[in-house]
Amino acid sequence: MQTKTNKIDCSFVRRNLFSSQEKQLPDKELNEFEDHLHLCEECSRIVSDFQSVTSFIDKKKSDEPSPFIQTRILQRIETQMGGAGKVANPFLQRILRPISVSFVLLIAIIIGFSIGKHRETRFSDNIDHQNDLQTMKSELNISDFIEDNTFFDNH
Amino acid sequence: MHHRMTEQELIDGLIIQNKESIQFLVNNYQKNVIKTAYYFVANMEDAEDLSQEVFLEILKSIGRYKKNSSLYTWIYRITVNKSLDHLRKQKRRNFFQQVGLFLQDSNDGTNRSDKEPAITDTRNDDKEKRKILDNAVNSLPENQKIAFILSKYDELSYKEIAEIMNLSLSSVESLIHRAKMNLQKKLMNHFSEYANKNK
Repeated sequence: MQTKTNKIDCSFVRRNLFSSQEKQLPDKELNEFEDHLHLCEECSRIVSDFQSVTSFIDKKKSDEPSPFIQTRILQRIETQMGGAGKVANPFLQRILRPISVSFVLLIAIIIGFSIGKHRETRFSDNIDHQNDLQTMKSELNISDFIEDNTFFDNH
Repeated sequence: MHHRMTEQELIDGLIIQNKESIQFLVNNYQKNVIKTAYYFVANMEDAEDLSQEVFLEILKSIGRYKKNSSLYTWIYRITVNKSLDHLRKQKRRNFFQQVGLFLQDSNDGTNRSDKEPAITDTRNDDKEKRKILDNAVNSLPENQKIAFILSKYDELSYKEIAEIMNLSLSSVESLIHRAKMNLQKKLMNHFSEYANKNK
């Protein structure tokens, strides 16, 4: 319910909820603040609600983690890093990783080239083979005979 | 029990992934890491999972750690970043879930708000109050949220927050002031909505 106090007093109270709670207002203002609460029911309710909700800041501070958390953290570190204390030096890891990746890439490129070259050789061998065959056919004069499709024609 | 280790000894040990140094790191920083993550994500299990990610990240990036800030500040920075990443992912997941629910509701021809029970008395329900606070903090702009959480929950000094956030002291002061103003406004809106519902 609204009271004998004016709006400025109410707005002052509502702007200084934290300051009054933390006792950061000058004594005179703090007294006026408290006097106002005796007169204004709504501000008094707001201050009480505010204190009740913000009291959970302190309650939250007293919440404790699981007593086994240290073991869990150390286990996780060990699992993730392959055993604490036994892990390869991260500096070495930073160097070894790109070297091994480059090496694998190089091998892949070499294999790719050799496969390509092999196919090319087979293709050129094939061409040579066909050329030899052609020469042989012409020398024996049987090329037309074989290539003549009409020979197999039903007509 | 681990013997004392200087920051430099710890860093050197972590670079070569020395087991004792890793144990010393986890033993000394786990509580701060989990708690800070918890203040951001508001769920202890998620915070514990995040802490594992934070320690893995520390071990992965320790070689790049520059000594222009303390190790403690650097670890805070990693924790805050991991927590914010988690919140962003969660936000995206929630968005798609909401879209899914909306589509499901459209197909069913029903309105979900009709199915869910109305919240009874929020002022008497601790869980609900926590949720109101978490939602209000979470809805703050990112920089205000970080400054507010590190100040109010982690109880760090403005100087420490300035170092973690790479900002000047005055910027941190201003962020925390604006965060408080915004939070007051958000909570007030919630209270008046609640009061109107119960009129």
